Amino acid sequence: MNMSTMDCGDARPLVPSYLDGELTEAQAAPLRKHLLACQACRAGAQADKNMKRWFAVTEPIAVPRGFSGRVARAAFAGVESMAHVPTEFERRSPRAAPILPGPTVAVASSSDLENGGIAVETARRDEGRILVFVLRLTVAAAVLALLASVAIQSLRRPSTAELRADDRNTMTLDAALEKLDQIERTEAAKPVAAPR
Amino acid sequence: MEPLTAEDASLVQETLAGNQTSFQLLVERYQDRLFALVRHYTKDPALVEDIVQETFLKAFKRLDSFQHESSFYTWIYRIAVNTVLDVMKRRGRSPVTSVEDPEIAGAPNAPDTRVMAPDARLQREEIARITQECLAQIPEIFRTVLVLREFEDMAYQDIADLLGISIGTVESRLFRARARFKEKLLQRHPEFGEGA
Repeated sequence: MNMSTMDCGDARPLVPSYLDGELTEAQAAPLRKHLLACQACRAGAQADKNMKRWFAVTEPIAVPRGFSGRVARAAFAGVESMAHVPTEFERRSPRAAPILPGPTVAVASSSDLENGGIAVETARRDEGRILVFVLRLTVAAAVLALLASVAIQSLRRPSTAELRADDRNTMTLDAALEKLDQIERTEAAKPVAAPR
Repeated sequence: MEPLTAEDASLVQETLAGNQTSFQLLVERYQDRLFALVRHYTKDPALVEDIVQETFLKAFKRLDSFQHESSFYTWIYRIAVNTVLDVMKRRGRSPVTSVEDPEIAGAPNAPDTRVMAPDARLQREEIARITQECLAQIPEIFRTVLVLREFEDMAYQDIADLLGISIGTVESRLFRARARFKEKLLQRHPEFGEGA
């Protein structure tokens, strides 16, 4: 026990309100006096203070980009529930949204919750839409690259005529025979070297 | 309770006159605080966004009934708390169950062990994560007073006004909420008990 006028039984219930700043000075002064004199109550008050420090830290807040604009548009458009409000991207390309797998979460709208489920609105998030957009862009680029590659290969391939083993297009059979005869005649006309 | 600022009053008037941009500015002014409030109730970012969105849409719908006696934030805050509690209740997370009525039930069997302040070596994110884990384990009826007091730094009288309960009930719920938080914290992380 202690030397102050307030005893431990009176002091302890007041400690949380004291730490919350809810006591008047008239209530707080004797409590402070008691805490200075009573080690046990002081330790209890310190423990309560320690626990409050678990609430001193908060995670960073991530408000989705364009949130305020979407909400303002929805409000002026007469939307009343928490059904998903389309983003700018969805408004511009309405066909883009439904495919989206991405990080989406199916959430029942408040009207669903109230009316037992009239329509389940799929909540689509900006990240999902960006992902779909990037995926589409990648696919389009891949298709274009493939087409370009096929076109280039096709241009560089030799034509059929160039690959022919005979010379049918440039020399007829008669002409070829004539040419052979000419070669033979030329060979026959050459003087035969005398054997040594 | 925060007083109504001239800027807020002006934005409210302009919104009522049909200025969408003014409402967007109001949303921008308070969106961070409402996201911070709502995320104490659910880890699902999509649901957090939907609840905050619904809060602003409700506020817009009732804007003409806004009495300029309190701040816009106090007013919209009340809508947010009611919306989040309503949604949690409808999603099957009723604060009062047939098994346990928190108003009737006595204080939990909180261990006598005292809780230490978060270890200085813990990262801020880690402290916030542990706190949110423990908060998620306690009934909404207690969590709400704890969130309003510890994170929003609200006075007992403001909490009482917001929730429509007496100051005595606020004190009683806070006492139980802290006891439950401590119980959950020590259950999950006994290393934070004093002398552990």
